[in-house]
Amino acid sequence: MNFRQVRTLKQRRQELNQIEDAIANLPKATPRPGLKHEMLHAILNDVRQEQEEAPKQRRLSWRIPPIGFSLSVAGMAVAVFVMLQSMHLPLPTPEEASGPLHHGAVPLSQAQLTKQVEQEIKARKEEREQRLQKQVIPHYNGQYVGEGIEIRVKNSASYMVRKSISPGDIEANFDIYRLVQEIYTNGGQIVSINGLLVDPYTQIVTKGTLTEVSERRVTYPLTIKVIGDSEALVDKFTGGASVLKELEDDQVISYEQKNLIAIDDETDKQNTETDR
Amino acid sequence: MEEIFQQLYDEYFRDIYHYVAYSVSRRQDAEDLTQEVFVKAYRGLANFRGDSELKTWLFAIARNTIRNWIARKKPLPVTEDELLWQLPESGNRPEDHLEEQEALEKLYVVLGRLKESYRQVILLRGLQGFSVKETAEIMDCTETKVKVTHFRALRKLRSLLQDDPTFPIALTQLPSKEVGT
Repeated sequence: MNFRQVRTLKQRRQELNQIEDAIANLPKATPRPGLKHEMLHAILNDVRQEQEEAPKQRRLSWRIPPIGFSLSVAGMAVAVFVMLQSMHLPLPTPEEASGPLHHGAVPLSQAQLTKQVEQEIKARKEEREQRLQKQVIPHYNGQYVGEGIEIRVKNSASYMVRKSISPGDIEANFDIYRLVQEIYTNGGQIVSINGLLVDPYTQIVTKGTLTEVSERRVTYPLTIKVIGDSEALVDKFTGGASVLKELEDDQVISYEQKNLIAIDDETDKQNTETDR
Repeated sequence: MEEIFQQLYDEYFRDIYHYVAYSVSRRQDAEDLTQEVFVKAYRGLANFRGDSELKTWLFAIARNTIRNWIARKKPLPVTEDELLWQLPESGNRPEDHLEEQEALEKLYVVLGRLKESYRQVILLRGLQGFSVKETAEIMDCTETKVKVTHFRALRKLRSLLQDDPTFPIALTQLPSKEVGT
């Protein structure tokens, strides 16, 4: 056993005890005279003040929500007003609100306006369907029959085809193409060029000096048969600027209003040919 | 509530002030912190569950308040000029008074150099005389940790004091491994 070590440890323990004693004997920190009462008053004052302010804060917290609520309501009202202003909708008068809707009358609201437009579109559709039934009478012998117009493009390939075109060039024939589209947009129901049915997107091109419709060669003079509302078509063509009018002015084409136009249905022909 | 608080205040004002004054160096800081401790105690008195002694609870508030204050303010180390205010005169002869005064000043300065946990455990165990269990409650740690921290704090204190030959307790030289722990 290492007695020297034991002695050292004992000595150190003793020293630590002495230090502990010294710490325990440190003098008391004495507060300045009167501090105790002064501090007590200060503490109680602080606490009483807090207790008085607490109900006020509680009351304030009840007051704030109505202010916030009223502000939000006012904001919503302003937003609605600005929205109405941006839509350019005048506020309805009582007479307008009670009266029936007429064409040209001031619309009452966006919803009513939309309803009115929908009704107009529906009426137009019905009318168009009725007229179509009158105009287009499908025959079982492979023909569409109805009123319409017949347009003749004179033998003026030199006008329709670009002059400096070389035999190998392929170009869209925009004159005929635009004419067909114009017919369809102005009330044409069925259109044929030289007996070939065309729709608004049928390919009409010139290859050299030749013209092809749906990759079938057509020769001038062209006969464009249109079944549709002939009166509407004629009104459109004569009324304002149009491709037909332009070509007519250049004396390239002429048209004739007819009560009965028959267009062969190619699909029927093809079917009958394949059947044979 | 106010009456209970006043009883509490009358009973523990001096102890709390003593503890706070030894934890911080300046008189003004000590007064402010003592007031803060009692204000907190008043606010929390209604919620006091009685899990511990009232004194222990109050010292725990004081300890947390001091710790927060130190973290917030980061006070400078104590200098000898700042501690003279709180050491009362003692001893009969002028020589005794001077010697004792000097020794206490040194001890106080060295206490101020200890790290926060060491100083707190020394103040609570040595100066206030709390038991290990009570100190553990105040410091919110285990009793073992209190014992270990107290021993280490004393050893550190001795290592700081042994260099000074004027200190009345003669301390033996420690091996190098024990210094600075």
